[in-house]
Order: sequence, then structure tokens, then C-alpha cells
Amino acid sequence: MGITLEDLHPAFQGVVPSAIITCSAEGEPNVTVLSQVYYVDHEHVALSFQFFGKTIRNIEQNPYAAVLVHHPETLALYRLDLRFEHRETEGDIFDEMEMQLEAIASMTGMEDVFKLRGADIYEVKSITKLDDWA
Amino acid sequence: MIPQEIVDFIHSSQIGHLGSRDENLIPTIRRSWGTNVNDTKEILIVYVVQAQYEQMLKNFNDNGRVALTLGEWPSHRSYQFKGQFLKAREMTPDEVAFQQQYRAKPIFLVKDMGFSDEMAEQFTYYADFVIEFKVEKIYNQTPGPGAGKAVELAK
Repeated sequence: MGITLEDLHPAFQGVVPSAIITCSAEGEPNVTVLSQVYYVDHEHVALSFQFFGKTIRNIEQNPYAAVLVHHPETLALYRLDLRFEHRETEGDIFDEMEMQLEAIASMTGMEDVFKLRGADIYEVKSITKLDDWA
Repeated sequence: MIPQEIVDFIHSSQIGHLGSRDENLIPTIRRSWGTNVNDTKEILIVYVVQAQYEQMLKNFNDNGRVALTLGEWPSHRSYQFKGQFLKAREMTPDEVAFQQQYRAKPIFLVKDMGFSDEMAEQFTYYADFVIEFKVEKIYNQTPGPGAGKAVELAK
């Protein structure tokens, strides 16, 4: 049986920072650190939209992205291949992500910097375990 | 030319993520394990694990576009380097020694986060391969008001 998002639930607590890659319509890849990956349901995650940066411009042009997440107990690394679906700026998912982001900001001394502008919902196309030692 | 301040940052960073994309503009990403700068400060030399880079190398050979983000913890200081793939090659003995010294940084970081010596050691790979690319643009990615701003290359 393949890896499920439920298996990776602990990886979505923000203990170990993640990274995201997107690509512009012109073919320019863009990699950035990501402070939050949020479990939505068995085939969706939400990523925090905090800054009007290149990542946001890219997914509006080309919906494909990939994120790396570490399991906080084993440190095993997983890649989630994603497709952007829509953005939520209010509601339960947004509110819960905002609270979680505040906690992450508090733990990392970034209270004045991290601010949630939107919860970007992505379909998870595939999950790949990248380490074979854990 | 990469400014000296950024060269110093490259040498102090503990976290690296290298990215590429395929012919359908689908991006992919892997960890990198140490970065060096060439003598003219125009080329980044990135240490990776060859077995993990099959798709990445295919992408580099197909379209050449490279993105590398390096980060420093716990300061959150981060920069992204974009450019054109030049070559992939085996590591030299000097580079093997450099990379073995570099490993101490992520190992310290992981231990500082509360993980055991054994897990920190296991987490931090020994690189065995080199990706070289010419840097065309550098962006500040430290969270805050300067995030996303281009860094001017030195003359």
C-alpha cells in the first residue's frame, strides 16, 4: 500500500521547516522555504500564503508545485507533488491555519513577520518517500 | 559576480534545496549537502547525492534552468540563486574533504532541535556528486519586508 497523507500527519505540525518549488509559465523554477503545510483531507493539503511573492505568481500561471516535508519523529523526507486548486481567505481551514501559524511564529521568533493572507488548497497528486534509511 | 557578503552566507548556511523543472513545466526538488563558490565568484558548486538526482539531471540537461535556495537556522536568513546549468561531475578529493566538514553544520542543527546524535548523523548525507551552475540572479528570501528583492551582483 502506498503512503497516505494520514501517515504523514505528524509532518504537518511545522516542527521542521519545509520547502516548496513552483515554476513560472516561462519555465523558471522557484524554490522557497515554507513554514506551514496543513492537512485538509485524504487528498488535499493547504499551504500558507503569507507574502505576495514569486511562488504565488507562479501558481497562478502554472498550478503544479512540489513540497518537501520531514517526519518529525524519524526525520524521513517525503515529496508531495501538488496541483493548486483554490485559495480560502476565511472559514475553518483558514482560522485553524492562522492559529497554527501563530504558534510556529511564536516558537521561531517570527511573530512580527508571519501573517496568513490565504490558505491555498492543493490536490496531492503523489507522495514519494525520498530516504530509505527511516 | 556574487557579492562577498553572500559568499560568506553561502559558506555558513546549513540547509540547501535544489530545484528544476521538466518539459511540461512540472517542478521537482531535492536536498543539497553543501555549496561552494568558484574563484571568479560566478559559479556555484553544489554537492548532492547522485542516486537521488536522476530526474533532476534529466531536467538540467533538457532545459538547464536551476534554482537553489540556501538557508541559515535559526536566523531564517535565506537566499535563492537562479541560473544556468553548466555541468555535473564526480567530486574531487578536496571537495570530499570540504563536504565532510560541511556536514557538521546540519548535524549540529538537527541535534540542536532535540534529535539524537545517531539520527542527526543518519539525516545528513555524504554527497558524492557535483552540480555546477552559473548564477544569473540572487534573491533575498529572508522572511520580512526585504523578501523577494533582488540582490545586486558585484562588478
